[in-house]
Amino acid sequence: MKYELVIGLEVHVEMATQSKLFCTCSASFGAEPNENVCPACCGMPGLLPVLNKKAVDLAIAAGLVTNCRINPRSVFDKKNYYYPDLPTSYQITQFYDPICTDGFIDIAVNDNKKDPINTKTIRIKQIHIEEDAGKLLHAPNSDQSMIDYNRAGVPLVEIVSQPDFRCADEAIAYIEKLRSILRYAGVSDCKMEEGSMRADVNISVRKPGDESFGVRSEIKNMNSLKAIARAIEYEYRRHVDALELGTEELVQETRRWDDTHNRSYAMRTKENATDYLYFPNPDIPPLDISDNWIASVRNALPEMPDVKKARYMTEYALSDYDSAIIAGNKDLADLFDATCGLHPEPKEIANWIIGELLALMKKDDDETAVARIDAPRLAQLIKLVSTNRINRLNAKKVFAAMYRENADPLDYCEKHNLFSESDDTLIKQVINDIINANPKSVEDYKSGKLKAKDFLFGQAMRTLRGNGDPAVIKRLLEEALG
Amino acid sequence: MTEDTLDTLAAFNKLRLSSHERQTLYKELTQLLDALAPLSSADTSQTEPMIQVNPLGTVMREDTVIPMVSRAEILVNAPEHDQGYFLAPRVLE
Amino acid sequence: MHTLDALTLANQIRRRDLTAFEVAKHTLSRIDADTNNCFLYTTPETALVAAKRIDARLEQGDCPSPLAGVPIAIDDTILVRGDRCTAGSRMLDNFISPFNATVIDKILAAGLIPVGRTNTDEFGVCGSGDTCYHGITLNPLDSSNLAGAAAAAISSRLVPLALCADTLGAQRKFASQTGTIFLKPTYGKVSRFGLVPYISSAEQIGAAGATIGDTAALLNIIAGYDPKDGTGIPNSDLIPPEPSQDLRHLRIGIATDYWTTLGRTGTATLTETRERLTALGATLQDCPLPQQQTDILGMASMALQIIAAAEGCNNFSRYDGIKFGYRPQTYATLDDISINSRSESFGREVKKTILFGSFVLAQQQYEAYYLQALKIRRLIQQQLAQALQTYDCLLIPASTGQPYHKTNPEANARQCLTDTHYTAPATLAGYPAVAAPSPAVTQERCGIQFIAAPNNEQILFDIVNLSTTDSLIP
Repeated sequence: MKYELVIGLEVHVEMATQSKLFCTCSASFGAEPNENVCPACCGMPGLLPVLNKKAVDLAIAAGLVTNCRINPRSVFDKKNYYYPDLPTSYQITQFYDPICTDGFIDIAVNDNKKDPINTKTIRIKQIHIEEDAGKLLHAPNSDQSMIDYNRAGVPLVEIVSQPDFRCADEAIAYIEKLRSILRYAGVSDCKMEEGSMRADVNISVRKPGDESFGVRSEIKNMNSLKAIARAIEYEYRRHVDALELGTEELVQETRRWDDTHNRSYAMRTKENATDYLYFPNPDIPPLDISDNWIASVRNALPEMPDVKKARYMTEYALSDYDSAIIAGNKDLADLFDATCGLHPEPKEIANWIIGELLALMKKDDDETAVARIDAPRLAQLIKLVSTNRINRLNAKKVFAAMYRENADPLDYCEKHNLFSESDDTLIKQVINDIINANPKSVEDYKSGKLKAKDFLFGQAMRTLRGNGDPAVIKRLLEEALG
Repeated sequence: MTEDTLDTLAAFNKLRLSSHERQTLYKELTQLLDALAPLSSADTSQTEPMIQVNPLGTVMREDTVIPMVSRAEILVNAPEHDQGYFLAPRVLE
Repeated sequence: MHTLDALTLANQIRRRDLTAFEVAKHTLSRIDADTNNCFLYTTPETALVAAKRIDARLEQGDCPSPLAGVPIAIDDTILVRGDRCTAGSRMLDNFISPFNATVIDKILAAGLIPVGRTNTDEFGVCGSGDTCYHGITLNPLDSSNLAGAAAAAISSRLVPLALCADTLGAQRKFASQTGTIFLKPTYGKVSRFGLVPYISSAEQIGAAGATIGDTAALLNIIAGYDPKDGTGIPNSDLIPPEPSQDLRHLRIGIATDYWTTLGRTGTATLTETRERLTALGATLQDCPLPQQQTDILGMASMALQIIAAAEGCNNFSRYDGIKFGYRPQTYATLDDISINSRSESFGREVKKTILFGSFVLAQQQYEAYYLQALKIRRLIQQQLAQALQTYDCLLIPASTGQPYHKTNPEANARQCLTDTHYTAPATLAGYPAVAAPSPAVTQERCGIQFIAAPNNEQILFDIVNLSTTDSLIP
């Protein structure tokens, strides 16, 4: 590679609080426009900001799971600029003294069915708490902007990385890892499609071995991993072309990514203004965080994915790959852990989750679909299989029904005649075939050699490949033998 | 302060000054800055800035939703609104 | 009845010698006849309904406070639900507040009767009395000059009480020029929830009245911790209603350097005040507190101007004509709305504050101006705190006494800066201060100002209560 790609990421994550950061409006997603708005949220004078303690708890949690230093004192500043989605024309953020600094997370790159080949440490420069802005919508075929301030004031943590990424894969792996650990820590649901997790991507190129940084472009508000990968690729080529072929002059600027046309373009608005007139917010006293507070947040954290993965490998002897898949996703891990608590076959459970559940979710492209399967019913299904009450083929049908229609395994098997024991015809057929094929054994049995029945039984079991309830097979055999 | 600075400040603050305003304000602001010259003579090298006058600890509240006013009351003051949205001309990008 | 002070009036209403209703009616008709432009508008319907309600309660012997039934004026920067609140600006000329300021909730619960809104300098900026969009207010004692509208309303006995915000200190200055009293509380004692903001780190809603007893009673009603204001002080002592009988327990420091620089204008005031206080048993001592331009206290006005401009510039940036406020007639783009709205509706002093504020916050100037001002603030607080360890309060002039002529806005703007010199120290430090008129004999208008340590409003009350017995307003 003639030029080295250098990427930094600023990831904005909406914290999972009920109310907003500095006022008591609801922070919920999806409300009617301007329903979750108080006078402060639309810039009216007279209200004063009071900090939401839960937001601080979650920010501390974010700092802990990213190995940051939690600063004992941090300050809220005002960042001043004019844009219609910013109701007061300033954003309350932490510019001078952020809550967390100097962390890191380890990411696994090139991770496929083999053991992960590359592990890389990405340094985190800082994490700070800030308010989100409202939403600007454009009515199509209209010269109007429509402004909704529901999102204005929703608490965010912004996680700023050092420019440690060297390719798109690393950036993607980082965001996925961040999403995993933040969901584990309960900081956010990190739904990129809903906007609760967004990334600003900073890209520059330089000659390998060069210590200094090239001209930087920033692409803001990316909310799709695929789009991020495409944008990075595009920008790399655009930068290289500019340097090699002189196609344009590179300037430090903010750009927007147009995924439909697969290109970026410079923003005409004054996002390139450099002076935000930062100053400490006089209405908000400094945020003091004690060691006790940090300890209580730490104690409330659940088992984190890396620890969990290691435990799956040692305790359940799951493979590295399988452990990583399940541990990486809190919903899957919760389902797995709960089901293991009800049924002692972890490898089976892992297979069902990875083989069946994930496959269906991928087909639907629906990450939230984990919720369709609950531990008790999954455990029940697996038990049915293990006790040979249904065969594996039928079990897959049941699973699909559980996933699509919320079916109950026992009811479904009952209704659709899937129990092996009810599949008498097959077993009877097999028994008949075996009796016909082994006349001598039948004779032996009839003359009092009980072991002959065992032999015939064994044959039947083998033919049915374990897919029949042994008790039923025994009964039918005895009936057939008379 | 130069006249260019004044123009930049006016632009940032979304203010359009008439040429008369510009002249008067420039004069007054330069006079004001001159009058502030003695400030730099104060020895503040050992002093921390004071943003809040009372040494209060961190003030916080519980994470409860308490709606304050209805959307209708919010929109009463809106110069233009439709279907719950505030309306304004389209932003150029 | 309008010559009575608020506490006496409340007493008569409680004894049912007068009804709140007739007092309210009388008040409203006098306001209608006012020629000094004290009031922007009155709220007769709500006032009379509230008066009837308090009358009914008092008939049952249920009296919510020592000021129940008393009419009160509300400054146009304090938000009242359902009322048009303009903060003296064209920008908010049609703004209807969707909520009550905390102080409003408190005075309503106490049975006071808000009768209307007083004029104010635009957003409280400058303090010259002639920046209000709705025109100037004249000084009832001298109609060729201006006055703050709340002070003028009390001075002309339209109302006995008013709530208004002390920003740069104009309320104290105008008190001294209208023969009235203004009590600025300790910063954080009175909730700023519902105050249209300008200098967030320093401004306070205070009590204006004709007597110190009235202002103290009003302060007791509006003070108190409000969880909706993160800068509020948690423990807030009230002023006990029974004043001290003498001042023998008090040591008063006379900040001589302030009085000397005032020249002859303050001499008679100081002499007269000194005599009175000594006769009441107080110990008076000269306390230098140097305040030349090169002294820390001498820089108070400069530091306050910088901090006020920085915070003001930011507090005014929300006004862009998009969500509420003045929407211009013509505009093509969204930027135009903001630019036209702000340019057409802000007055010159507000524009100047905005430009200056963003200048001092810009990266290049931040340290030399804004941070330097904040550091000087700390030094000022330290100096005052130190002086107030030796003395129970300090005595300085309330203003230069120079009148604000009604047709000279540029001179007035300059005059403001000079007068801020006397009000800035208490404002910056967040310390309580009271301004009272110069004793009648002197005819001087510089007034007297006492500054005490935080939460010591009791001392201010005692001193003024005993030392200003003459009423200076007809």
